[in-house]
Amino acid sequence: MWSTLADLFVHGSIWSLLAVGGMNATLADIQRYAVDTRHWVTGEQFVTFFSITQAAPGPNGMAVALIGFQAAGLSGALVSTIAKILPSSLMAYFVSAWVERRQDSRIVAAVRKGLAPVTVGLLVSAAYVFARETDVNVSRALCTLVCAAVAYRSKLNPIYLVAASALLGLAGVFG
Amino acid sequence: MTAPTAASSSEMTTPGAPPVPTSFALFKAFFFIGLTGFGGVLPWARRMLVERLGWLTSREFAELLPLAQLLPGPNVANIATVLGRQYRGAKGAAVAVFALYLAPTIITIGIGYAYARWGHAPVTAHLFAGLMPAATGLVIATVLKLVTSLPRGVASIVLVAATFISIALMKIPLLIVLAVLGPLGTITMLRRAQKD
Repeated sequence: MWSTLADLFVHGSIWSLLAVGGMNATLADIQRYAVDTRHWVTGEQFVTFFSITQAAPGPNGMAVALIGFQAAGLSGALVSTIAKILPSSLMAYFVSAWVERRQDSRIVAAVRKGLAPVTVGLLVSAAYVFARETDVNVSRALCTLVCAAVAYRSKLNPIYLVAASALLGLAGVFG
Repeated sequence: MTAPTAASSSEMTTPGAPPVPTSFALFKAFFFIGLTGFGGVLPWARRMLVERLGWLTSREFAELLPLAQLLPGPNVANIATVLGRQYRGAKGAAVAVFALYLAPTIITIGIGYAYARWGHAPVTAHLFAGLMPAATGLVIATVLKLVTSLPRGVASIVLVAATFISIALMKIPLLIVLAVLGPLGTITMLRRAQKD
Protein backbone atom coordinates (compact mmCIF):
# COMPACT_ATOMS: atom_id res chain seq x y z
CA MET A 1 0.00 0.00 0.00
CA TRP A 2 2.63 2.52 1.13
CA SER A 3 4.98 1.46 -1.64
CA THR A 4 2.20 1.97 -4.22
CA LEU A 5 1.50 5.45 -2.82
CA ALA A 6 5.22 6.29 -2.88
CA ASP A 7 5.41 4.99 -6.46
CA LEU A 8 2.39 7.11 -7.48
CA PHE A 9 3.93 10.16 -5.85
CA VAL A 10 7.39 9.76 -7.38
CA HIS A 11 6.13 9.07 -10.91
CA GLY A 12 3.37 11.68 -10.62
CA SER A 13 6.04 14.24 -9.71
CA ILE A 14 8.24 13.17 -12.64
CA TRP A 15 5.33 13.58 -15.07
CA SER A 16 4.45 16.91 -13.49
CA LEU A 17 7.95 18.24 -14.09
CA LEU A 18 8.35 16.71 -17.55
CA ALA A 19 5.00 17.91 -18.94
CA VAL A 20 6.66 20.27 -21.43
CA GLY A 21 3.96 21.97 -23.48
CA GLY A 22 1.11 20.62 -21.36
CA MET A 23 0.10 17.37 -19.68
CA ASN A 24 -0.65 15.58 -22.97
CA ALA A 25 3.08 15.39 -23.69
CA THR A 26 3.44 12.84 -20.88
CA LEU A 27 0.56 10.55 -21.94
CA ALA A 28 2.66 7.98 -23.82
CA ASP A 29 5.04 7.69 -20.86
CA ILE A 30 2.14 7.40 -18.37
CA GLN A 31 0.72 4.62 -20.57
CA ARG A 32 4.10 2.86 -20.63
CA TYR A 33 4.46 2.93 -16.85
CA ALA A 34 0.87 2.60 -15.55
CA VAL A 35 -0.27 0.02 -18.13
CA ASP A 36 2.80 -1.91 -19.31
CA THR A 37 5.04 -1.83 -16.23
CA ARG A 38 2.73 -1.60 -13.20
CA HIS A 39 -0.57 -2.96 -14.60
CA TRP A 40 -2.51 -0.43 -12.51
CA VAL A 41 -4.97 -0.03 -15.40
CA THR A 42 -5.61 -1.76 -18.73
CA GLY A 43 -4.81 -0.04 -22.02
CA GLU A 44 -8.49 0.55 -22.65
CA GLN A 45 -9.07 1.94 -19.14
CA PHE A 46 -6.18 4.33 -19.69
CA VAL A 47 -7.76 5.87 -22.78
CA THR A 48 -11.20 5.75 -21.15
CA PHE A 49 -9.99 7.67 -18.09
CA PHE A 50 -8.37 10.28 -20.27
CA SER A 51 -11.57 10.61 -22.33
CA ILE A 52 -13.77 10.97 -19.23
CA THR A 53 -11.61 13.64 -17.65
CA GLN A 54 -11.50 15.50 -20.95
CA ALA A 55 -15.30 15.69 -20.84
CA ALA A 56 -15.20 16.89 -17.20
CA PRO A 57 -14.24 20.43 -16.11
CA GLY A 58 -10.72 21.34 -15.02
CA PRO A 59 -7.15 21.41 -16.29
CA ASN A 60 -5.70 18.58 -18.41
CA GLY A 61 -4.20 15.55 -16.79
CA MET A 62 -6.78 14.81 -14.09
CA ALA A 63 -6.76 11.28 -15.53
CA VAL A 64 -3.76 10.54 -13.29
CA ALA A 65 -6.12 10.91 -10.31
CA LEU A 66 -8.29 8.12 -11.75
CA ILE A 67 -5.24 5.95 -12.37
CA GLY A 68 -4.23 6.58 -8.74
CA PHE A 69 -7.76 5.71 -7.63
CA GLN A 70 -7.58 2.45 -9.54
CA ALA A 71 -4.14 1.66 -8.07
CA ALA A 72 -4.78 2.53 -4.40
CA GLY A 73 -8.30 3.88 -3.83
CA LEU A 74 -9.07 7.36 -2.48
CA SER A 75 -5.60 7.91 -1.01
CA GLY A 76 -4.09 6.93 -4.37
CA ALA A 77 -6.26 9.52 -6.14
CA LEU A 78 -5.27 12.26 -3.66
CA VAL A 79 -1.55 11.42 -3.76
CA SER A 80 -1.57 11.38 -7.58
CA THR A 81 -3.37 14.73 -7.70
CA ILE A 82 -0.92 16.40 -5.30
CA ALA A 83 2.05 14.89 -7.15
CA LYS A 84 0.66 16.21 -10.42
CA ILE A 85 0.14 19.76 -9.10
CA LEU A 86 2.87 20.54 -6.57
CA PRO A 87 6.22 20.09 -8.40
CA SER A 88 5.22 21.94 -11.58
CA SER A 89 3.60 24.76 -9.58
CA LEU A 90 6.72 25.22 -7.43
CA MET A 91 8.80 25.30 -10.59
CA ALA A 92 6.44 27.85 -12.18
CA TYR A 93 6.65 29.96 -9.02
CA PHE A 94 10.44 30.21 -8.91
CA VAL A 95 11.22 30.15 -12.64
CA SER A 96 8.69 32.89 -13.50
CA ALA A 97 10.20 35.14 -10.81
CA TRP A 98 13.67 34.45 -12.25
CA VAL A 99 12.58 35.16 -15.83
CA GLU A 100 10.92 38.45 -14.78
CA ARG A 101 14.16 39.64 -13.18
CA ARG A 102 16.22 39.17 -16.32
CA GLN A 103 14.76 40.77 -19.39
CA ASP A 104 17.37 39.29 -21.74
CA SER A 105 15.50 36.09 -22.44
CA ARG A 106 17.65 34.72 -25.27
CA ILE A 107 18.16 31.44 -23.42
CA VAL A 108 14.46 31.15 -22.55
CA ALA A 109 13.62 31.66 -26.24
CA ALA A 110 16.17 29.03 -27.30
CA VAL A 111 14.88 26.50 -24.76
CA ARG A 112 11.34 27.19 -25.95
CA LYS A 113 12.24 26.72 -29.61
CA GLY A 114 14.43 23.70 -28.88
CA LEU A 115 11.72 21.97 -26.87
CA ALA A 116 8.95 22.67 -29.42
CA PRO A 117 9.84 19.79 -31.80
CA VAL A 118 10.31 17.43 -28.84
CA THR A 119 6.86 18.41 -27.53
CA VAL A 120 5.36 17.69 -30.95
CA GLY A 121 7.12 14.29 -30.99
CA LEU A 122 5.63 13.53 -27.56
CA LEU A 123 2.14 14.48 -28.75
CA VAL A 124 2.53 12.33 -31.88
CA SER A 125 3.42 9.48 -29.50
CA ALA A 126 0.29 10.18 -27.43
CA ALA A 127 -1.85 10.21 -30.59
CA TYR A 128 -0.27 6.91 -31.70
CA VAL A 129 -0.89 5.21 -28.33
CA PHE A 130 -4.49 6.48 -28.29
CA ALA A 131 -5.30 5.52 -31.86
CA ARG A 132 -3.91 2.02 -31.34
CA GLU A 133 -6.24 1.52 -28.38
CA THR A 134 -9.28 3.38 -29.74
CA ASP A 135 -9.54 2.65 -33.43
CA VAL A 136 -10.29 -1.05 -33.30
CA ASN A 137 -13.08 -0.81 -35.91
CA VAL A 138 -14.00 1.29 -38.95
CA SER A 139 -16.73 3.38 -37.29
CA ARG A 140 -14.43 4.49 -34.45
CA ALA A 141 -11.61 5.31 -36.85
CA LEU A 142 -13.99 7.37 -39.01
CA CYS A 143 -15.29 9.27 -35.98
CA THR A 144 -11.69 9.92 -34.86
CA LEU A 145 -10.81 11.36 -38.27
CA VAL A 146 -13.93 13.57 -38.39
CA CYS A 147 -13.29 14.89 -34.86
CA ALA A 148 -9.64 15.58 -35.70
CA ALA A 149 -10.56 17.40 -38.93
CA VAL A 150 -13.29 19.54 -37.32
CA ALA A 151 -11.14 20.40 -34.28
CA TYR A 152 -8.25 21.32 -36.58
CA ARG A 153 -10.21 23.39 -39.11
CA SER A 154 -12.83 25.14 -36.93
CA LYS A 155 -12.94 27.08 -33.69
CA LEU A 156 -15.85 25.02 -32.35
CA ASN A 157 -15.59 24.35 -28.59
CA PRO A 158 -14.31 20.74 -28.42
CA ILE A 159 -16.93 19.88 -25.80
CA TYR A 160 -19.53 19.68 -28.64
CA LEU A 161 -17.41 17.08 -30.45
CA VAL A 162 -17.09 15.09 -27.22
CA ALA A 163 -20.87 15.28 -26.68
CA ALA A 164 -21.71 14.27 -30.26
CA SER A 165 -19.28 11.37 -30.15
CA ALA A 166 -20.67 10.25 -26.78
CA LEU A 167 -24.23 10.25 -28.18
CA LEU A 168 -23.11 8.11 -31.13
CA GLY A 169 -21.51 5.73 -28.63
CA LEU A 170 -24.70 5.53 -26.54
CA ALA A 171 -26.62 4.78 -29.73
CA GLY A 172 -24.39 1.73 -30.12
CA VAL A 173 -22.62 2.87 -33.30
CA PHE A 174 -19.16 1.89 -32.07
CA GLY A 175 -19.97 -1.67 -30.99
CA MET B 1 -21.48 42.17 -23.71
CA THR B 2 -21.48 44.61 -20.79
CA ALA B 3 -18.57 43.04 -18.90
CA PRO B 4 -15.74 43.96 -21.31
CA THR B 5 -16.98 47.57 -21.54
CA ALA B 6 -17.11 47.88 -17.76
CA ALA B 7 -13.60 46.48 -17.44
CA SER B 8 -12.09 48.77 -20.06
CA SER B 9 -13.79 51.88 -18.67
CA SER B 10 -12.56 51.15 -15.15
CA GLU B 11 -9.08 50.80 -16.63
CA MET B 12 -9.41 54.26 -18.12
CA THR B 13 -10.52 55.88 -14.84
CA THR B 14 -7.55 54.43 -12.91
CA PRO B 15 -4.62 54.64 -15.29
CA GLY B 16 -1.56 52.65 -14.25
CA ALA B 17 -2.90 51.80 -10.80
CA PRO B 18 -5.53 49.07 -10.90
CA PRO B 19 -6.30 47.71 -7.40
CA VAL B 20 -4.38 44.52 -6.58
CA PRO B 21 -6.84 41.61 -6.21
CA THR B 22 -7.18 40.15 -2.70
CA SER B 23 -6.47 36.48 -1.92
CA PHE B 24 -10.20 35.90 -1.66
CA ALA B 25 -10.75 37.43 -5.10
CA LEU B 26 -8.00 35.14 -6.46
CA PHE B 27 -9.73 32.16 -4.85
CA LYS B 28 -13.11 33.06 -6.36
CA ALA B 29 -11.72 33.68 -9.84
CA PHE B 30 -9.71 30.46 -10.11
CA PHE B 31 -12.37 28.35 -8.40
CA PHE B 32 -14.82 29.31 -11.16
CA ILE B 33 -12.20 28.88 -13.90
CA GLY B 34 -11.63 25.31 -12.63
CA LEU B 35 -15.35 24.65 -12.49
CA THR B 36 -16.27 25.97 -15.90
CA GLY B 37 -13.36 24.77 -18.00
CA PHE B 38 -15.17 22.29 -20.21
CA GLY B 39 -13.19 21.28 -23.27
CA GLY B 40 -10.04 23.23 -22.51
CA VAL B 41 -9.63 25.67 -19.63
CA LEU B 42 -7.60 28.35 -21.39
CA PRO B 43 -10.46 30.13 -23.23
CA TRP B 44 -12.43 30.26 -19.97
CA ALA B 45 -9.44 31.62 -18.08
CA ARG B 46 -9.07 34.33 -20.71
CA ARG B 47 -12.77 35.20 -20.53
CA MET B 48 -12.65 35.48 -16.74
CA LEU B 49 -9.32 37.32 -16.29
CA VAL B 50 -9.49 39.67 -19.28
CA GLU B 51 -13.15 40.24 -20.08
CA ARG B 52 -15.03 39.81 -16.81
CA LEU B 53 -12.54 40.90 -14.13
CA GLY B 54 -10.28 43.14 -16.20
CA TRP B 55 -7.21 42.05 -14.21
CA LEU B 56 -5.23 41.71 -17.44
CA THR B 57 -5.44 43.35 -20.83
CA SER B 58 -5.66 41.11 -23.88
CA ARG B 59 -2.03 41.87 -24.55
CA GLU B 60 -0.85 41.09 -21.00
CA PHE B 61 -2.65 37.75 -21.21
CA ALA B 62 -0.97 36.98 -24.55
CA GLU B 63 2.42 37.90 -23.07
CA LEU B 64 1.85 35.58 -20.12
CA LEU B 65 1.13 32.60 -22.41
CA PRO B 66 4.61 31.73 -23.79
CA LEU B 67 6.08 31.38 -20.30
CA ALA B 68 3.03 29.40 -19.10
CA GLN B 69 3.49 27.10 -22.10
CA LEU B 70 7.21 26.70 -21.59
CA LEU B 71 6.86 25.75 -17.92
CA PRO B 72 5.82 22.14 -17.27
CA GLY B 73 2.24 21.35 -16.27
CA PRO B 74 -1.13 22.62 -17.48
CA ASN B 75 -0.88 26.17 -18.89
CA VAL B 76 -3.78 27.41 -16.77
CA ALA B 77 -2.15 26.12 -13.56
CA ASN B 78 1.00 28.04 -14.45
CA ILE B 79 -1.06 31.19 -15.09
CA ALA B 80 -2.66 30.71 -11.64
CA THR B 81 0.79 30.36 -10.05
CA VAL B 82 2.30 33.39 -11.81
CA LEU B 83 -0.67 35.73 -11.27
CA GLY B 84 -1.10 34.62 -7.65
CA ARG B 85 2.57 35.32 -7.03
CA GLN B 86 2.48 38.71 -8.72
CA TYR B 87 -0.60 39.83 -6.77
CA ARG B 88 -0.14 38.25 -3.32
CA GLY B 89 3.20 36.43 -3.19
CA ALA B 90 3.52 32.81 -2.07
CA LYS B 91 0.13 32.87 -0.35
CA GLY B 92 -1.56 34.16 -3.49
CA ALA B 93 0.04 31.47 -5.66
CA ALA B 94 -0.99 28.73 -3.21
CA VAL B 95 -4.56 30.08 -2.99
CA ALA B 96 -4.96 30.38 -6.77
CA VAL B 97 -3.64 26.88 -7.52
CA PHE B 98 -5.67 25.32 -4.68
CA ALA B 99 -8.84 27.07 -5.88
CA LEU B 100 -8.24 26.02 -9.50
CA TYR B 101 -7.98 22.32 -8.61
CA LEU B 102 -10.57 22.16 -5.82
CA ALA B 103 -13.69 21.45 -7.89
CA PRO B 104 -11.99 19.27 -10.56
CA THR B 105 -10.42 17.07 -7.85
CA ILE B 106 -13.74 16.51 -6.07
CA ILE B 107 -15.47 15.80 -9.40
CA THR B 108 -12.73 13.40 -10.54
CA ILE B 109 -12.85 11.46 -7.27
CA GLY B 110 -16.64 11.26 -7.68
CA ILE B 111 -16.06 9.86 -11.17
CA GLY B 112 -13.64 7.31 -9.67
CA TYR B 113 -16.34 6.02 -7.31
CA ALA B 114 -18.94 6.01 -10.11
CA TYR B 115 -16.55 4.10 -12.37
CA ALA B 116 -15.85 1.49 -9.67
CA ARG B 117 -19.60 1.00 -9.27
CA TRP B 118 -21.04 1.32 -12.77
CA GLY B 119 -17.95 1.22 -14.99
CA HIS B 120 -18.75 -2.17 -16.45
CA ALA B 121 -22.47 -1.74 -17.11
CA PRO B 122 -23.42 -1.98 -20.84
CA VAL B 123 -24.61 1.65 -20.99
CA THR B 124 -21.35 3.07 -19.64
CA ALA B 125 -19.34 0.78 -21.91
CA HIS B 126 -21.20 2.32 -24.87
CA LEU B 127 -20.66 5.82 -23.50
CA PHE B 128 -16.90 5.23 -23.10
CA ALA B 129 -16.70 3.74 -26.60
CA GLY B 130 -18.19 7.04 -27.77
CA LEU B 131 -15.84 9.27 -25.77
CA MET B 132 -12.66 7.55 -26.97
CA PRO B 133 -12.75 8.56 -30.67
CA ALA B 134 -13.39 12.21 -29.72
CA ALA B 135 -10.47 12.22 -27.26
CA THR B 136 -8.17 10.63 -29.84
CA GLY B 137 -9.34 13.03 -32.55
CA LEU B 138 -8.65 16.04 -30.31
CA VAL B 139 -5.10 14.87 -29.60
CA ILE B 140 -4.52 14.43 -33.35
CA ALA B 141 -5.90 17.94 -34.00
CA THR B 142 -3.48 19.38 -31.41
CA VAL B 143 -0.61 17.63 -33.18
CA LEU B 144 -1.66 19.09 -36.56
CA LYS B 145 -1.91 22.62 -35.12
CA LEU B 146 1.52 22.38 -33.49
CA VAL B 147 3.26 20.81 -36.50
CA THR B 148 2.33 23.78 -38.69
CA SER B 149 3.73 26.20 -36.07
CA LEU B 150 7.16 24.51 -35.89
CA PRO B 151 10.18 26.27 -37.42
CA ARG B 152 10.87 24.78 -40.86
CA GLY B 153 14.01 22.74 -41.37
CA VAL B 154 15.69 19.37 -41.08
CA ALA B 155 16.48 19.87 -37.36
CA SER B 156 12.77 20.05 -36.45
CA ILE B 157 11.88 16.93 -38.45
CA VAL B 158 14.77 14.93 -36.97
CA LEU B 159 13.84 15.98 -33.40
CA VAL B 160 10.14 15.09 -33.87
CA ALA B 161 11.04 11.71 -35.38
CA ALA B 162 13.69 10.92 -32.74
CA THR B 163 11.22 11.71 -29.94
CA PHE B 164 8.46 9.58 -31.49
CA ILE B 165 10.74 6.59 -32.13
CA SER B 166 12.28 6.62 -28.65
CA ILE B 167 8.99 7.15 -26.75
CA ALA B 168 6.28 5.37 -28.74
CA LEU B 169 8.25 2.61 -30.47
CA MET B 170 11.27 1.93 -28.22
CA LYS B 171 9.40 2.79 -25.00
CA ILE B 172 12.37 4.57 -23.42
CA PRO B 173 11.42 6.43 -20.20
CA LEU B 174 10.48 10.08 -20.76
CA LEU B 175 13.04 11.35 -18.23
CA ILE B 176 15.92 9.90 -20.29
CA VAL B 177 14.49 11.05 -23.63
CA LEU B 178 14.04 14.63 -22.40
CA ALA B 179 17.46 14.71 -20.72
CA VAL B 180 19.07 13.90 -24.10
CA LEU B 181 16.82 15.53 -26.69
CA GLY B 182 15.93 18.68 -24.68
CA PRO B 183 19.51 20.05 -24.49
CA LEU B 184 20.19 18.81 -28.05
CA GLY B 185 17.23 20.81 -29.39
CA THR B 186 18.17 23.88 -27.34
CA ILE B 187 21.78 23.85 -28.57
CA THR B 188 20.60 23.44 -32.17
CA MET B 189 18.29 26.45 -31.85
CA LEU B 190 20.95 28.55 -30.06
CA ARG B 191 23.41 27.86 -32.91
CA ARG B 192 20.81 28.75 -35.50
CA ALA B 193 20.08 32.02 -33.63
CA GLN B 194 23.81 32.86 -33.61
CA LYS B 195 24.09 32.26 -37.37
CA ASP B 196 21.24 34.70 -38.13
